[in-house]
Amino acid sequence: MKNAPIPHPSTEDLSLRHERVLDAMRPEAVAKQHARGQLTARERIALLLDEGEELWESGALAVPADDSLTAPADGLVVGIGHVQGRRSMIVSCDYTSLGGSLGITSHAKLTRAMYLAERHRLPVFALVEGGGARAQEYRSLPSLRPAAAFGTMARLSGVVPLVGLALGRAFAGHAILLGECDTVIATETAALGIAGPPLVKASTGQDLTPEQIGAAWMHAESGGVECLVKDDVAAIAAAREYARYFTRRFVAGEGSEATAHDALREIAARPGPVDVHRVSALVADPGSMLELRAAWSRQTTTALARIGGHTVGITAVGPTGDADSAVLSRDDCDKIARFASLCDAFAIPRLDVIGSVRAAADTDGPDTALFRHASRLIRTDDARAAIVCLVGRLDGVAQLLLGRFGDFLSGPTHVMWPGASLRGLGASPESGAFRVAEQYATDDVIDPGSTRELAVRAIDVARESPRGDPHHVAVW
Amino acid sequence: MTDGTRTRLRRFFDDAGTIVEYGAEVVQPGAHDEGVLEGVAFAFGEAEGESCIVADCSPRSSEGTIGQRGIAELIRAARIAVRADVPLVLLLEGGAYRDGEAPFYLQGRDLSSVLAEVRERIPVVGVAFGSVRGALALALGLSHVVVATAAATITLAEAGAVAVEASDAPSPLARHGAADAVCADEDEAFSVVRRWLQIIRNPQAEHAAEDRSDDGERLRMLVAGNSRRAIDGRRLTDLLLDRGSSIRLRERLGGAVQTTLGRMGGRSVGIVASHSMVNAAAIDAPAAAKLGDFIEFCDTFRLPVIYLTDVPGLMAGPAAERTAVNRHSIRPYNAQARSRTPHLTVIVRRGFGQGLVVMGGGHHVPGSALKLTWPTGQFGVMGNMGAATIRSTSTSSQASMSADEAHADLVSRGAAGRAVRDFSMDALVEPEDTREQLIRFLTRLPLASQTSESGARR
Repeated sequence: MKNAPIPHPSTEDLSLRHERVLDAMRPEAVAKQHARGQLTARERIALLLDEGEELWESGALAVPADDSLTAPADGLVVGIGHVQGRRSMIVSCDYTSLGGSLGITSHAKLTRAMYLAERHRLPVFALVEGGGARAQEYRSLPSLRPAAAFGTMARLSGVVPLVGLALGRAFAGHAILLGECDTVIATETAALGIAGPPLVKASTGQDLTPEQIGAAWMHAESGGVECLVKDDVAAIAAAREYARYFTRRFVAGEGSEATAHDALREIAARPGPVDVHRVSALVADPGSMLELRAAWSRQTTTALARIGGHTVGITAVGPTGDADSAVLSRDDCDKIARFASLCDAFAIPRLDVIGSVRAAADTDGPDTALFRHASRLIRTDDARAAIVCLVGRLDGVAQLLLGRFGDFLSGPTHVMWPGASLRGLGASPESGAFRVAEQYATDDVIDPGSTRELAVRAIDVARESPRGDPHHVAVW
Repeated sequence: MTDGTRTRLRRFFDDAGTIVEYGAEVVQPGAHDEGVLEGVAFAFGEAEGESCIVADCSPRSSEGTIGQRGIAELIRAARIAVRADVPLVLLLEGGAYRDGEAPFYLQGRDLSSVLAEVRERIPVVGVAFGSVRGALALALGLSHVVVATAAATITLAEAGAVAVEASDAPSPLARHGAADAVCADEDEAFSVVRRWLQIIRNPQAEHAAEDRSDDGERLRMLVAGNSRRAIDGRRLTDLLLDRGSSIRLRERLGGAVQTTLGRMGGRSVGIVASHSMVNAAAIDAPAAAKLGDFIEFCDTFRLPVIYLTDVPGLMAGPAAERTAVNRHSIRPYNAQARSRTPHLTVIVRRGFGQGLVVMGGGHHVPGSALKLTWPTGQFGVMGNMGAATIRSTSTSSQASMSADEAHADLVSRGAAGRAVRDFSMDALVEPEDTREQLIRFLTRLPLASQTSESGARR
């Protein structure tokens, strides 16, 4: 290729060059990917795009900088197409081409993709599978054609949704690429890691498979993967579902208020702690909840959902199992703060459903710096926070951290169920909801059955309030 | 009774005779309000030539309780500090809310929400004495820097025993990096706070010449001989900073990276040093979080950041993955990509992989203004051993060779001399010339406004 004479240009040659990169011309590569139960880079894109949509592609003719290597489009498909009605940037790694590794050319393609996303404000979908930088090409530091993709993503954070899909083995640069995203959706067979087997072997001496190093479920349990799903098809469906909350802010709801009404009353009447997860699901439009980081820090639920058809972010905190009270930990604080940051960045109104909670005693142990993490929950700049609904007993500083009693007068809509109460911080021995309402530290005590109705109204108000200052999505 | 409060508050200032005091007479609510002092007072004064507001909370009762009047005093101190555009220093002890007072929730706007706004406008320093609890613990969490005495504990709980270990063990606050600095006693804590304020508020101090004739040799010795010997990043830092100017922050948290505030030729700087005595300086999730906080902190107060780099990469292996290190490592990366201050890099020895990228070697830092390498610098996109294995099994004709040959090739390509010839580094610098080179650059920099326009969003 390097020294070949420039052939006389023909349309046949042009078509051939463009077709060479397509799946139809690469049956072996396609078969390999399918044999693993996976889709090809291009099949994934076709599924992600809206019906009938075709990708505008950049760099189909690009090849590896090391011309002794073969990789159609240098192993990375980059292009623009509509997803959920919004024009989006898609990058899709081709694992069948040199293991999806990022070479000098494909790094440049990735950089181009992010610059285009920045230029045209396009949501980004990164369909990721591969083992990082191509060792064969990066034999010394890249100085002349530096990759600016990740730095651009840092600026894009909070400007457009950044959605990462881990669809196989995603190591080194590929794991970092996912880390730059707001949300990571992974398949059950995926594995993620900073360093793959050869590097783990070199640095720790352990012989491990990629799955032993960082199976997707391990990441889901430690909060590093937001959604864990079965396979490629499910992951792409989840990505479309996720994107829909951002691009279609209103979808007519099919909620049956009567059902929610009775069920909510029944929950409130039951003895023992309120199941806040169940309450959230009832307040949201039926079947509209997409939970993020569900496998991590389970006493806290963070979910995108719809209420009255509008996109909302629901945070629910309360005890699980037989516990009387949730004990707020460092991970809970990080999970809540990070989710609030995501919602605020995209002006998504929030509903908080707060059950019985107390803060962990901050003695020795991993929660020794709890006060630092807890202070992330003190917010005064969240104009779109719509409604705080207290359904359990808040102990001590949990009144400030989750109950919003530190800024009730200037804070969001604030209601309590009749069974809610406060204890500690001068509420001695305990202040019931009616006492708090008499003292005017809450807007109202409500019939639990009317929670959904009230949320619909509060969200309508919050939706129209001015946006706060733009800000990035917190990384953790 | 007054004297306990006044003494600590007064002791903080250069000249207690010139301070303006507030609220020293406030008592706990009672029948005729003639009872016991609330124990909170604040004052406007000067420390090391810098104006500041200092609030002292020294509760009278053994339970360390405070009430609504005490909290109102702290809120007023914060508001006055913002109006006057001076730093706020909170000297805190106790904090459980007093039984019998009107419920805390009736305030409508409590100290923590006030501080969440205040920290975006002025520097806030929190100092923990004794056991700090409840709402006051949150006040510490909202401070830009947390200083604690060795006996201090910080808990969100209102009541209950807090375990304090035997005095010879490091305090739990130090061990987990919960406090930025843990000091033996009040004197030391005050000295740290005063120096911190100085560094933040006065970006260019007078600097007297120092005899540093032995430092070159000491720096050389750090990297001489065995290339696998650990380098103490703290010592390296102190050898490059003006003598006695360093304030180490959260030394025990993510110890592979050491973060230090100090001065270089009188200029305020933030130093990030690899510390290969912990995890061979590989960056794990806590180290990444600490680094991210520090970069944001330097950005907030417009301090130049200097990297002293000897990093093998990010932490590898299943234990690290369990902490979502791929997500946490984005913290410093993104903070750097958005940073508005100059970033200066000195590669001391190893510079590998994504570790190098977040330790000052990345192309994503708009403020990256100078990249120097010592002759001992060694570079690579990933660790050489791993890269050699991958290359020895590759199909590439350009790269094909045995693992040993590949390794030798990587070592020669990754040498410091190569890095300056192919322009991945700006210049070579000898250990003994490093400080001088950095100072030359720093003196060319215009002094940015040191006011915190907007605190780092966490």
